[in-house]
Amino acid sequence: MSLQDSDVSIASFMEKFFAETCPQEVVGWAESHGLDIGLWSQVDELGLTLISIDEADHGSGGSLTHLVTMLQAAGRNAAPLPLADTHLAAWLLVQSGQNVPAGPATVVPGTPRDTLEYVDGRLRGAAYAVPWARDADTVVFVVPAESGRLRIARAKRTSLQIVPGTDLAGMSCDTVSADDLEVDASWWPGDPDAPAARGALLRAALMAGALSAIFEMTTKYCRVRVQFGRTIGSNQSVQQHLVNLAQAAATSAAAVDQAAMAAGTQGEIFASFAAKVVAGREASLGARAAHQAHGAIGLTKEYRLQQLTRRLHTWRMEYGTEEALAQRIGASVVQHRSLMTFVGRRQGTTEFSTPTSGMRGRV
Amino acid sequence: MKLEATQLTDSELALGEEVSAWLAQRLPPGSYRPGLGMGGDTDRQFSRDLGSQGWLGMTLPVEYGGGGRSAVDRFIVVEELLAVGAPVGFHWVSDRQSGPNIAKNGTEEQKRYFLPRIARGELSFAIGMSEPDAGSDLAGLRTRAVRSGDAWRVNGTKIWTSGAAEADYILALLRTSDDRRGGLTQFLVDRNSEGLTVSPIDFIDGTRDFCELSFDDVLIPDSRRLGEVGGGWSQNTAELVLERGGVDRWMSLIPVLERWAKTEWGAVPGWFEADLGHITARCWAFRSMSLSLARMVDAGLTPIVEAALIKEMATRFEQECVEIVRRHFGRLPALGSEDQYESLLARAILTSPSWSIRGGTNEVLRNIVGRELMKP
Repeated sequence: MSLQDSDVSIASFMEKFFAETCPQEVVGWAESHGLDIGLWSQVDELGLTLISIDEADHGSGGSLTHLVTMLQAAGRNAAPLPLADTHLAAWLLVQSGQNVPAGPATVVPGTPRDTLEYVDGRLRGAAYAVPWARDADTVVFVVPAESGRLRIARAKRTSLQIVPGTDLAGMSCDTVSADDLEVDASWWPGDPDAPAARGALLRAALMAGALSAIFEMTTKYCRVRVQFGRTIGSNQSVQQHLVNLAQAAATSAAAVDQAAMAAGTQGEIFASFAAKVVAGREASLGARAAHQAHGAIGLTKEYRLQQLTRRLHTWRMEYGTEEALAQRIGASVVQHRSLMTFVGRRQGTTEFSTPTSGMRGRV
Repeated sequence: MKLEATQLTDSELALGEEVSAWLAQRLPPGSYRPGLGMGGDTDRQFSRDLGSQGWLGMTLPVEYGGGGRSAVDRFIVVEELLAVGAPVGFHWVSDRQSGPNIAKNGTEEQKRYFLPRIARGELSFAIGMSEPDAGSDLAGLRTRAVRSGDAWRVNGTKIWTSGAAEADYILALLRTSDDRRGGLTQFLVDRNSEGLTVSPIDFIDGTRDFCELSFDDVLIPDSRRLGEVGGGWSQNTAELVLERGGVDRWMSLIPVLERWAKTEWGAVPGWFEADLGHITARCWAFRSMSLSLARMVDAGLTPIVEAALIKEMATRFEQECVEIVRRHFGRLPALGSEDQYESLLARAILTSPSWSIRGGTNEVLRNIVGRELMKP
């Protein structure tokens, strides 16, 4: 694979790779056993988590569009891998002047319950709902300072206490605590909203991928499932669900691709938050429509659909709920006194406003 | 069904700047009554002024007085117009669909006559499709055109035609034989034809823009037939693509939303920002999809299903926006309010059901998409 290839061939390479490596059994295995090291080493070898990080910084090169293309393919196949998390960790570290970590990594997303504190080079307290923590070699912390600036700190997983937990997708979602742990930290040089925005966009990309998969899966099912002597898809009332799914898949993918294209412009943070709000809403409608069209079989573990919808429910609530992100967007619209400034032709030059809430810095 | 993300080029962005600056001069606040998207006021002079800027008939060929420009350039101009609720009523139909239809299907004489006038903002069109017994089901049209020498004799009734009273021409779909689809033909009907009576229908918000057209032995010269005899169905279908999926399908309420964003309108902190943020994020996504469609049209594609898919959800979104804003407004908005935006909100409450009916009902659009998805 080369990232100089056309976008189309990258998309088809990624789709083929994840379809082959992440069939239903592999996903099911990971839900009960955790990270499959063999599977991880394949994506590690290809450098997938380092796409869009400069080769000079030991990344894989390519653009943010390439990265979200990879994540959409991963989401389509419910890939049980810390792809978005390892990428986010590496990107935060590289941007703040640290080196790319080896092995799987994760980022502490930050919840209102977290008690983490960084004082004089030491970290203490607990953080909740950390995806993949028990399988990560490196855990990255985004710690707000009183000045409003952020520090990016890293710790080896082995130096932390981990209490395992499980998310709705059956994947690890752990509590991480540190006890006066000395950590490496450096200042985040960019916009304090950028870490949260990147986290939101990556989750949105996974959701867009899963939505396109459940759309196709449901369409196929409705073409072959026969009831009352004909395929259920020949009923207009059932077709309604397919239309809703087609809209969910098209809208979320358009939003994610548009946000990736905003990389490096003033509009990047808004677009990333907006993409997550849009994908989250579509995830809710799409999951409901897919299950309704499938009937009972869609709710069984032997059928693939639930692997995707459980992930949609999880990703939707990670890295900013729709309400929290919408509120930030709304506050910024109020400051600019116009929504078209974010929607219309000025979207690439409109700065996201300074925050009014204490959420800043939370990824 | 992939909608490629795209961005505006520097020259496209500059066009937007230019239009916006011109509009600020030409339509200072208070100098006009803002409208709901394509339902904007009718102002002949404004349409002529837009025409002299080169911002009407932009995609029409240069040799017929058009701009020879792209669908995206037109998208940019329309976005700026609808963002301020500009009075686009006079030229809306001719600019969006009648002009391109004539450019594609018209005779040389028709193109020479109609296109320069459309591009100058001098000709207004209305769409003569629906009939009392054929709303969504256009193949059931009955208004008949019978060949009579060099002309066609027309009898029947068209109904629910917006803007016909002010229009110069009606682009009518008429029955020329009994074949359901193959028996339909399009005609360019002079609104002042003898035997054609245009009667306004009182609309739900008290306006009288909706019309009924009675054809009583109206003679239409054969030179005003648009395209082949029996070619009306496919011409009309292509025309509907131009009608669907554009920014006009999610921008109807923008002037009201912009006012709300600055708001003194009963904002409940927190709740207000979250609702406004949701709406902004979704507008941004719809805009991206509309722009992507315009690029597809410029690439020579005819994205019929994509346009139907977008229009169906965009119009429902617009209606949800009305519901959200009315809740925040917190009292009954008055149609006759001195605050033009309050009055506009009242009109939106009354007329927004039309948004998911005009240009193909959402049910018809859902059937179009559903059928496509079931194709093996």
